[in-house]
Amino acid sequence: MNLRKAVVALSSRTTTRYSSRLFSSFLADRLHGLDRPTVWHEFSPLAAQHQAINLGQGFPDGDPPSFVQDAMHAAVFHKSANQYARSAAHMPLAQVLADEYNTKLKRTDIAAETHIATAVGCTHALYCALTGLIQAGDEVILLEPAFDIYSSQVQMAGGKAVYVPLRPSGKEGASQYFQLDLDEFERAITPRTKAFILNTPHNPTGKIFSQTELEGIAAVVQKHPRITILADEVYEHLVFDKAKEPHIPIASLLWDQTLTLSSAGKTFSCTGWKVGWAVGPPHLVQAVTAVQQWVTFSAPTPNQDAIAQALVQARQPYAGFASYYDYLADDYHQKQQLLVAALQSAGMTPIVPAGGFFIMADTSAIDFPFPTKETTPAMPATPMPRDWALSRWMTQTVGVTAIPPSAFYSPNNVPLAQNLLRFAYCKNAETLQEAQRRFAAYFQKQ
Amino acid sequence: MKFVSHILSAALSIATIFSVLTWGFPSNTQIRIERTQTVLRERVSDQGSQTPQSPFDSSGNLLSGGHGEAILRLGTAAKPTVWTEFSRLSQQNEVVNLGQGFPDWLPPKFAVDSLVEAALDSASYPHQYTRTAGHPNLVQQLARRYRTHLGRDIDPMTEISVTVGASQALYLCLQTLVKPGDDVIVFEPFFDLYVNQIKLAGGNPVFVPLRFVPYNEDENVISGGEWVLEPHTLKQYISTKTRAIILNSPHNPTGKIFTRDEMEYIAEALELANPDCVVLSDEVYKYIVHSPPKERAAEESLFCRGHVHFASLPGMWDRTITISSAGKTFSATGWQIGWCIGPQRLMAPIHQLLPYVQFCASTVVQEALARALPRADEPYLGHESYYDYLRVKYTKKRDKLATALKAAGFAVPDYDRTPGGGFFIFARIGKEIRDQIPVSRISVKNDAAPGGVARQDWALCQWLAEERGLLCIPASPFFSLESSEAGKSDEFIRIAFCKTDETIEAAAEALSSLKIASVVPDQERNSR
Repeated sequence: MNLRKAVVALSSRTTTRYSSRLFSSFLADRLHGLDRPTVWHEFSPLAAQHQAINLGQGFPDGDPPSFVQDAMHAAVFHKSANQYARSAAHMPLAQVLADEYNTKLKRTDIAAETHIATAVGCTHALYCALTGLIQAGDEVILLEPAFDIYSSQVQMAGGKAVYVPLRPSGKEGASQYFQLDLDEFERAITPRTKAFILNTPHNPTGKIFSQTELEGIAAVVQKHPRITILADEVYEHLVFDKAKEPHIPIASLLWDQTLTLSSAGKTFSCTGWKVGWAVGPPHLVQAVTAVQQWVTFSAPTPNQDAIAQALVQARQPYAGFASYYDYLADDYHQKQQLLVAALQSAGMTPIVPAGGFFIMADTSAIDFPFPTKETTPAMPATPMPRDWALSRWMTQTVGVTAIPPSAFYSPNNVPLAQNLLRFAYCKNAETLQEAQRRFAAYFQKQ
Repeated sequence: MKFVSHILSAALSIATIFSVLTWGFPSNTQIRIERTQTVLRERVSDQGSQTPQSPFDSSGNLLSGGHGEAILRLGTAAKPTVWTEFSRLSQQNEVVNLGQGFPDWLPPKFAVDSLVEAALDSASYPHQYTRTAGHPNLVQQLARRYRTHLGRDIDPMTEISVTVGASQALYLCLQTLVKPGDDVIVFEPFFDLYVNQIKLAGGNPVFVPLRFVPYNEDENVISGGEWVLEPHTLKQYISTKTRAIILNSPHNPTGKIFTRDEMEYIAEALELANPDCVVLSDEVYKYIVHSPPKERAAEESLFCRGHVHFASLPGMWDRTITISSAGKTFSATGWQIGWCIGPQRLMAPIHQLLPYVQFCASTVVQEALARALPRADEPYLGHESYYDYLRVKYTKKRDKLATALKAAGFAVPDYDRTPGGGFFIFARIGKEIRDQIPVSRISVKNDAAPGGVARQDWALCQWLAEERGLLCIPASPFFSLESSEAGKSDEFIRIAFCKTDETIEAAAEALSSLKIASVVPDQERNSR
């Protein structure tokens, strides 16, 4: 764990004070604000400094399953797996993905050569898609709270982010608690809207968009042929009640206007392998491949090759389950339950997620010294938002680190985050139990 | 519906005129707009009573059809290229493929082992995200090596960025440096990636021609020669608008080594450029200097014989970003690990972008390279180091290929008198070969070729692939459209020797069929 802390601590040192002088390129306006330290630059080192249990950043603290590691081992010994992959996508991986998505979407026309692009993780696939689709001044709709990379990528592509908040309803369960007002969504569309990023299962809330919601969204988007839905589905296999709340790809409702993005990292606990993909109609996939050709040329081949094998293996029975995916979902469900209990013992009300590996917890019942006059490089606003201050206090005083969701909201909507914290449970049981012990030690004494 | 089609047709005409005036690529933009209009027509007809939408907004920007700014900037580069075209030819014909610039053997055992070990070393978390600017173990190793290369201390945390291959390193440098309207100088011939990345950044590529100086100046003799940079040439093209100069040594496609003097011309010429002008030094072939310059330059690195790092020239550290990668050196182009090294003020913007572009490059592959680098310095298969082994290996292959090319009637560099590096031979098409190219193939329409026309070099390569079982790359995609249309690239093709001896021998056989064919009397040839 110490190496991990050192790594993220060191990354914070790369931020410089040169900011304004640096960007004399055309990106100058587009990079405005991107030179500021982020929530990750602040909380990872803070956790390390206080030896807190880090339930902040979303990467597993375990290894990929052995069949996945074995796949990499095998790939390395193939000549072709060590040389440039086909730029658009390594064919063995493209073939497997085409089969997978034809099955998932009940289609027969998804072809490896034309309907699949692979990239260096889903983040990179999204970067290429936005760069390939956006013209300067185009608008991209993001649902808040939104993974912080989206707005930066939109900005870098010359676009303008338009935020539509998921609003709290008070109902039980993340999917019902965080509601999208379809009218509000429709009102956000203008003639300049070019894309809409739909993340389901959703980070950070754990909401899974229902059939009804997706039909509503599809009906609205269909009226605007200019809009492409970029469906970020990286948590698609972390689904806890497939009967009641399955993951539904919106491409099954609106194929022509959807680019479906996903990756291997969350599914196979290998976020450092960076194998992501985009699937959709050729004219949308081309936006990704045309850009990738000149940016990186291709994603690393041994990794793509290994994931191609892993995807096939994952459908086989695993550890007593019908497939690796079933095992994975069960494993995360158990971890979620551990964390839910821990949060409750701390007087927080977790909003139980339907998918993903984050929980948003309501913290209104927690008393701590606030408001604070403190500011940090990543949060210069005064007063500091309550959730940010609470997260800092919890790291320093209780010894557990969460991410303040205000990092995922645009300035106007930051108040929606003030009574929430995001906790990750992609951690092993010992880590989660230690967090519980620390919560008990502090809160049950009060 | 009729009304709608009239509007669409009118819009198409306007769009075509607009695009011709703006971009000057009539046929391809036209095709793209026509396709877009078809899509729109279909959509509108589906919507029945919906109010028809104009495909253009009030500012005249094309609305639908999915083409973002990046695609528009790429223009013709978003259509078939020499790479997609010759890849297709290699799949559709039985060929010995000396086109692609990657080896057909495994990386050295210590490199393969390094990747296996890295993947198994749980304690170092090889499978999860790593530091966005570069994996600590790797940047430490790179700092160590570049300390010797550049003769100065390198801070691994602030002066190094790790990227997905050298291609991405270059892309990010250009993204952080170039404003629309800025000039970026490339030396011609050039790797076509440079020009397309410059366009993506909104810059103007400015082509500074290298001059081909044949060994034999007699016009009636086609001999090999060398490519030189003349100081007065560079000074003609450099100005205060010049924001960057891309230097590639060893050079793709010619294999040229830029001499110490030529590098000094570039350093001097920087005085005439924008004070913020930066040299981007692409050094991916630096460990394959198979024919080093006779004199050792003072700045030559102890670690790579024959290669001068531009950043080590007096005063140049501050004005240079050094770019390289693992792929060519370790015969592992699929690993896609590259880096750039430079002063903090130039690295910092790249560090800012990396988290948003992909968050980090693959951890496990970075860790593998970190382990492989120190091993490469150790004795390897009877050589002092892996780098020595690599150079000797490539020298032998170069000679094998050069002999076969000469026997077939090509003119190649004389590596005893001309320094060379990399793994390509830029061969000059001899008279006998020229005469064999079927006339019907020359000057034909070809969408992937520069200017949409297959000139002599392209025709030769296509004929060789389709009729002689040998795949090489024509020179014209490495030249500006203007230069190739003026015939500057007609006489050259690029042939790779990063292939096993068996492959090169098979190529030699295919080439020998050219020699046989050239001595067949005319009547017989025409009657076939």
